[in-house]
Amino acid sequence: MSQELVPFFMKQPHVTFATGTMIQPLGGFDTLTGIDLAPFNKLSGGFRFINGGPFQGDDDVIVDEYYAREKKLAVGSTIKLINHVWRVSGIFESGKLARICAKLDVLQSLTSNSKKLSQIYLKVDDPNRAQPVVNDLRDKMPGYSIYSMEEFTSLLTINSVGLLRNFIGVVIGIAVIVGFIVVSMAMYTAVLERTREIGILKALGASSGYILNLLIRETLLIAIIGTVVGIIMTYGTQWLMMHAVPASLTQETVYNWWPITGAISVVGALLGAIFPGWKAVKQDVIQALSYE
Amino acid sequence: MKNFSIWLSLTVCVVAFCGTALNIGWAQSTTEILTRLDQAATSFAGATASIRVITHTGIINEDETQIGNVVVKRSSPHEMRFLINFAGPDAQAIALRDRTLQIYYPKLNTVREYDIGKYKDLAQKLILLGFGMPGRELGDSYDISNLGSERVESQDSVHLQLTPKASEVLKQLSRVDLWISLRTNCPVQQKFYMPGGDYRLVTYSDLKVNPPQLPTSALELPKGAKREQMN
Repeated sequence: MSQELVPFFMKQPHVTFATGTMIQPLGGFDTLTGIDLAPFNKLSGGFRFINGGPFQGDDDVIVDEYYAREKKLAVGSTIKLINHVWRVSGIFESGKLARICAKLDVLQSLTSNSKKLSQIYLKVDDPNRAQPVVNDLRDKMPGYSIYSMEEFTSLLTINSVGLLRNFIGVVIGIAVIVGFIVVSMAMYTAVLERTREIGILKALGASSGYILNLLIRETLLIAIIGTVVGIIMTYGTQWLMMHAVPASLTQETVYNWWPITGAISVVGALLGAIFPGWKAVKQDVIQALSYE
Repeated sequence: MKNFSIWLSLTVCVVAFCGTALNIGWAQSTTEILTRLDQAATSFAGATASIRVITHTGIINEDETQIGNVVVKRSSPHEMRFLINFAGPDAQAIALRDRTLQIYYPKLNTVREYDIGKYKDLAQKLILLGFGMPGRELGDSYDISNLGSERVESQDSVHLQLTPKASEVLKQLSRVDLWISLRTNCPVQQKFYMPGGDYRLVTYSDLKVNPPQLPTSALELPKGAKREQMN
């Protein structure tokens, strides 16, 4: 959209400030954002630089700490993005809805989009007026995508990317089914291999209930320990992602899934253990003792 | 008073008659035009033209102009390829080949490739609206009104108003005005109206239909450019 829309927005009721950015995709989830630094600072409260500072030359970029860590960038490093070599002039604290920023006019010129913007951010005088301002602009500008920041950030979740949401759903479904089968089969094999021990217990006078009780308690203990170890291991993968690809991949711990995963492992393990255990205790002692 | 009534009645009759005559004329004319487009489409192999695109932002009444040239070539009976080269400070080239839309950025020496998949037909029909397109296809996709003859770019043309039939298209494109040259049966001008008052006016000049020399290389983007797959 045209950059000339910025002054138009500035004139709208309750709008105190407006500035635009240009976004260039870099492949995957990474983007290069063109910003007009002074207005962007005015809107966002300014960048907090960990190292270096704002752009000095036309080919300078500033990157956030996660991107710098992942790409091993320092102030003065060079990086090739959109087939153009850039120099890192500063590393800023993340949280500005952008990981890599370049000068707006430079990016517009390189991409043959002079005076064009991808997004325009508005600041209103009162947060409670944000939605009425959005509604008013939607009426004035049908065909334009206009969102409050709340709506906009909700669009950045995986649920807004249809294919990704379906893909994650399928992966979770497969993981649940495979996890269930693996736990069941592991316990099934473990108990089947103990048919002879069950026969010995029966020969020594142990009742079927006693043996099943023993098996169930052991199975429950293994399932619970397995669940806890699995949950602890997720922190390991989280740490690995944070250190290996901090700007590209993030892992959120979803606590609601802890009881679900626990239930999957416990139910899977119990089903896997009870069936062969029941078969073993129902077997003749001599047959159980001769099981190989 | 009596004379006035007679004059009024006559005027109303004349206006009504003219209106009917015009309507009949327009209806016939539209059918004729669509038939002629059907015939022209069968012999259409390609075209070259100069192109001017004016992008109008309604709410701020701003026009932005891009100038360049376009090459269109029929690669198979149901397949068109095109290349649009825009010149000037914002030079870039846009090409459609099979299901891939390519945009070349000379300052980055990069070609970005987008797989437009299911939107391929829509892209072809919109960008190449009127180029080698049978009239029946226009009728299938749009409700057509004939707004009469006009002279555009020194060419006699017929002005058609197209309203997309598909509701999905209507959300993005409320109307298209199309000026078809009576000489070449190709568009002289297209005007795409977006909801909210924005429009894009595309004007073609120096149009050459079925030029004798139109090699496939005329539709190629620079081979040395870096290719980026965007989706």
